[in-house]
Amino acid sequence: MRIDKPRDRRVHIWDKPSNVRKFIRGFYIVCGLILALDFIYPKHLTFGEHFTDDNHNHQYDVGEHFDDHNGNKKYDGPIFEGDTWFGFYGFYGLIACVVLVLLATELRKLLMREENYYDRK
Amino acid sequence: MIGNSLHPCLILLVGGALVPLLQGRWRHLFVIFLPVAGLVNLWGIDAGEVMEGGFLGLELIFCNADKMALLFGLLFHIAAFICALYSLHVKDVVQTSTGMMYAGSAVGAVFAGDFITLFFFWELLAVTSVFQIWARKSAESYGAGQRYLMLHVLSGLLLLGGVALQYHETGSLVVRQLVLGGPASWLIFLAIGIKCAFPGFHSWVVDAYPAGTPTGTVFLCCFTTKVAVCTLARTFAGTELLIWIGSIMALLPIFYAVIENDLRRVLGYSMINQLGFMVVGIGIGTSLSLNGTCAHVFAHVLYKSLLFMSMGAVLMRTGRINGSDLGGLYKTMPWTAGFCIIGAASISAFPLFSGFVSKSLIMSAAAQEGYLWIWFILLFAAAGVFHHAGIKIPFFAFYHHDTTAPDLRLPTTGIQGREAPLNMLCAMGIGAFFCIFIGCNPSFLYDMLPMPINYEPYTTSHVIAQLQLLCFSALAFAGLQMFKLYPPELRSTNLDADWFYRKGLALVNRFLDLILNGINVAVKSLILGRTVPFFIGFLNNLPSHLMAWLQTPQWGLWSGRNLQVRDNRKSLREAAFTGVFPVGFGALAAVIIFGVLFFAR
Repeated sequence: MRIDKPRDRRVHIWDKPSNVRKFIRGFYIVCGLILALDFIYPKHLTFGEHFTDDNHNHQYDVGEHFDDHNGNKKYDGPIFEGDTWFGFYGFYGLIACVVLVLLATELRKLLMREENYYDRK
Repeated sequence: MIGNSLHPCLILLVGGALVPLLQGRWRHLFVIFLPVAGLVNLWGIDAGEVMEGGFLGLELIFCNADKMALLFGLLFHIAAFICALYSLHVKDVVQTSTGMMYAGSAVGAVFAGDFITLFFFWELLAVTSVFQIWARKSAESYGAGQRYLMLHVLSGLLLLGGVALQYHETGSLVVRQLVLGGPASWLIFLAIGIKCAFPGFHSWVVDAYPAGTPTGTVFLCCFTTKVAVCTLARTFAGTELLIWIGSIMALLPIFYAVIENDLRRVLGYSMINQLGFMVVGIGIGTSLSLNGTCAHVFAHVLYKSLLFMSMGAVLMRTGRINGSDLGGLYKTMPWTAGFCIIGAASISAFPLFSGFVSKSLIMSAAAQEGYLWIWFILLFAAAGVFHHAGIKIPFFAFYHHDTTAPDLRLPTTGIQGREAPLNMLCAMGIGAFFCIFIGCNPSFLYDMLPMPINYEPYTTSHVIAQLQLLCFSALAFAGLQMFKLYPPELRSTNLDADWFYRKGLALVNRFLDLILNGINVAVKSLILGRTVPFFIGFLNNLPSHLMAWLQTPQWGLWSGRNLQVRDNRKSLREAAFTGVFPVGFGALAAVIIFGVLFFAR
């Protein structure tokens, strides 16, 4: 362990608050651009189109050979098509992380103990 | 011998045992040479080659070189090389020697074709790896090592029990797909579950890894859990229960990771999260998902070891690893910071980094099979892993508040980190190279996968979807930091499943102590304290009481005074205690005895 006086007195890149502000502003622009890309590219349906049998318990992809006891096949539409909505992944990530952090903060009230919890007699 | 090659584990295993015989530069050269020689040896083994033999009348398959074993073998040799290079400066020969043997045991376990051979390497893994924890030589690491060993030996015993039952039922020892049914398969399942950090058994990861030496934890993160994943894929692929177990593993640890302060423990939690993805892949059981699991193991070992290496370098140079004590190290450790960011980008599955091409196979397989909720959980976990491993680790270690500047208000200031030594930087560089190389050339990895695969990770919609997910997760982090909603790094312990054996067992111990020792004390006081003295007193006093009782009527007749009787009784008791009686008593007793004998005759 070295706890010395720092030899280095140079001003580094993130020492300047203006650089940090520039970085964050740039990051906002990148987020906006990536969201805007959603307008221009053709979306791919993650869950494809699924067929189910009469009991709704087996999925079959389009084009896959289908043969149940009655020979009936039923098109139920895609299981989920939300991923083609505008900005689905972006908003999912945003909300997921906010929920994650807020829930974890609540969890702390339940689980947090002092640092030497297991060592004390 | 397999063809012209030795058994793939032999070079690392025997070589590792020989390491203590060498010193200085020769030892360095030898340790670096071992994984290279092992790799050359592995090169000579073709897929499908088998090495069989007999032991105690059992037919064993010491080496079954299928494509999965060869992939894991290659991975473990690369990992062993990186670990050896990273720990080259370590003077403690026990660490180096057992580290190489540990890697050798892992290779042996993935090539094992029967359960007895697997069991042998399974136990060897536990025994050789624990030295990476104990080598830190602190009370904390000693305890963590013991707990680690306890769970892993338990895992070995469960495996042995399951295998014995399995052999009894089927007469076969071959490692093959099992159906989760009777006790045999459940015992084997649990044994693998402990090593694979299933929920409830996972606490050894976050207990032992932060307790290891800076270099030891890098060894630990590469092998044990991956052997478990490989064994699980060989035995329980397509077991639906695994999908749910895997999604719990992917989901729950990220909450812990957000509030954890020890950055190596954060990486431990993120490792369980990544294992969750692999277990889901095994549970789905299609060729795409199993390929995904294998690919993810390959990518994971490289980026997770890179992250552990960067944190090990920070620990070595500053002596600290808590997020609350670190920050601003990008100034003094720029290379380490850069490598850490590459590892973080890989684990977060940024396009062009290794995690992207492997994790998406599992996600796609879940979607293809119509597991909607699992897919949502995995997507949540993918956002979460970026949050805690991708951002938190580099941010709190290398950026955040500046601990290198002297500021008297903060107790942790003035940490003068120095850049990691050259061997560590080279090891991190190799890891970082693989992270980017695999990310940019997925076919390198895909061509080695056990089953043929036709998958294109770089489609427009996939790349943009992933970028959106990650950028907006980062946006959430920035927003939460800005509004001071992000939980601060606090020196603390968070309760986890290890509570049950660290505190719970202690409570059981105290309870049993109270009950059993209470009974012991009560019985002791009853028998020794009361009953025995009573009997002793009774037997001591019996003759004098008896004599006094016999003589009281006679004394009453002669004197008729109570006082005289009491005095007589007292002197009689004293005489009985000292055993000194007037001669007349003795003569009287003798006459009585002779009389009794005379009449009894």
